[in-house]
Amino acid sequence: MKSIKTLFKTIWNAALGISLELVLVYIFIFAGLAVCFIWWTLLK
Amino acid sequence: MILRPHLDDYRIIGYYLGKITISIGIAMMIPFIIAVAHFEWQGAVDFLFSISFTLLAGALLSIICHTKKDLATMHAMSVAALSWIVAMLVSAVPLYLSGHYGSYLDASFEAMSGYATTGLSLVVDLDHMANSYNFWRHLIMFMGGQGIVVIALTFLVRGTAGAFRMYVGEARDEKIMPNVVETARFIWLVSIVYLVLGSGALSIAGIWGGLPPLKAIFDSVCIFMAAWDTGGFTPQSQNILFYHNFPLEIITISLMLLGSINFALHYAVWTGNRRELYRNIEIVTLFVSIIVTLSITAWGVLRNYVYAQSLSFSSKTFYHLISGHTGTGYSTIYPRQFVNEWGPLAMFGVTLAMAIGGSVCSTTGAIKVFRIGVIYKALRQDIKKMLIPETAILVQKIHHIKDMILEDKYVRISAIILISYVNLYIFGTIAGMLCGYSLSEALFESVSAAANVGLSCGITSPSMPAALKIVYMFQMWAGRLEFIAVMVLLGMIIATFRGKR
Repeated sequence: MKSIKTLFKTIWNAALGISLELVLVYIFIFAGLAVCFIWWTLLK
Repeated sequence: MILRPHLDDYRIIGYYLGKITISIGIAMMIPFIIAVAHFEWQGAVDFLFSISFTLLAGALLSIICHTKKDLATMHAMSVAALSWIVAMLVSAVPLYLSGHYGSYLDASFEAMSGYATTGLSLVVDLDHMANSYNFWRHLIMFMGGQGIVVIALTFLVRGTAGAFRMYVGEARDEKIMPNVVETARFIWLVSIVYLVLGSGALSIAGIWGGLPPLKAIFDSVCIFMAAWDTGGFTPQSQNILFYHNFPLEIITISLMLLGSINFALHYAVWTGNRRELYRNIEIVTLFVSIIVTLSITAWGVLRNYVYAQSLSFSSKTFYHLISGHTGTGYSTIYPRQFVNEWGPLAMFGVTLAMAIGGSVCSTTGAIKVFRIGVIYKALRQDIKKMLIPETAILVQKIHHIKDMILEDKYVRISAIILISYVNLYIFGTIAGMLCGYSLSEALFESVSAAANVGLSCGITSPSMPAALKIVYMFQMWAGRLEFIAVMVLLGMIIATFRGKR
């Protein structure tokens, strides 16, 4: 019973970790595109 | 005084090289199966010959040099450095037999580019290459990104202290788990989880973009392997531009960024240490570095009035900046557009991003953001020291998985690696200029090769001088291994001839 609980917790932590990594990646993408739009607005 | 290596030293190196050669022979069975499944009989015969040759060579080496002795640092570093040369030589055999390369040197260039996760290519008529050969190119890249030694550690080598030294020799200086074999297996676990997620997402985007389902799945697996391992090979000669697919571009950007993250950070986040994502020195430095280099590149592109719409400007500029910074080399423009449309300032921005690279203990090459972060912190500490009273004690901390005091040893090794990379970049630039290319072109291509990126401004082609091909191959090899293993191998060769008994 305890090992099933541990396994479930491990999978849960990994799934949450992957989700947060994806959130981080999309923060990078939005920040990058925002920088491009700012430069476009300033210099075009 | 340098001592000449003993016969036993060569036997230890030969034994482990034999094991690694066998693991490459086993890996060749995957494209062989693909060749049979696609009724590509010429490919099946070529791979069968290559498998037999590689397994025989590996087995002979292992039997002749059989030993139970563990690896010392000198052996481990030499094995790490030599294994990449051996892997290149045997992996080039099926590529050469495919008939898509002008010479065995070109096929070896392709294999080294694959193993080093660079992505510069000398293939001819890629669009008509059989699936089995094309898959082999991408599998080489996947294996190189994971690490040839990591593969051997996972399947064929026991987790001894010597095995850890070999792992370090492959520019992976972080032991994520107490046992090095468990560390190697964790690296595979992360990659396979993302292989399923990434290939699935790419397949959906490909089918949505109009590709036939089977073609979409095949291309997705290939693109995933090259994006995750920050390689840059694609199944099509026009690279990612071939697909004209914005969702696919966003997914590849995500994979490139994920591939450039430290495996130790993946482990920390996957095991519940979630705050690490925004506290880690590498993530913070990577973010700042992307913003700075992106601004330089964007300014350069805007000066030349290349794009009429903000979305095409943003997507093209950001895509190539991320592709360069993560060391992938995927592209949505033609190589000569860098020179003819983007201009020197934008090329400099991308070159700077390529020179910095991603995280340590990831699949990227180059100087790495950790070292840039450490040198920046050390510089800040020195300036602070001049501003506070002489009697005051200043302690500078950095956060990487745990809080660490910034000691001189971290700054020293970071500075050594940085200087070595700069020298390697200059070496390739001079070689390019000697072959008649301009400074900005030669620098761009040299950094791309040495930092294992793969973006090209048009220099890399089957018709370029053979000497320049060899220079770029050396740069890819030395850059991927981060010099230490290469230097130890060089030292051992010198000791063989000039060492004392």
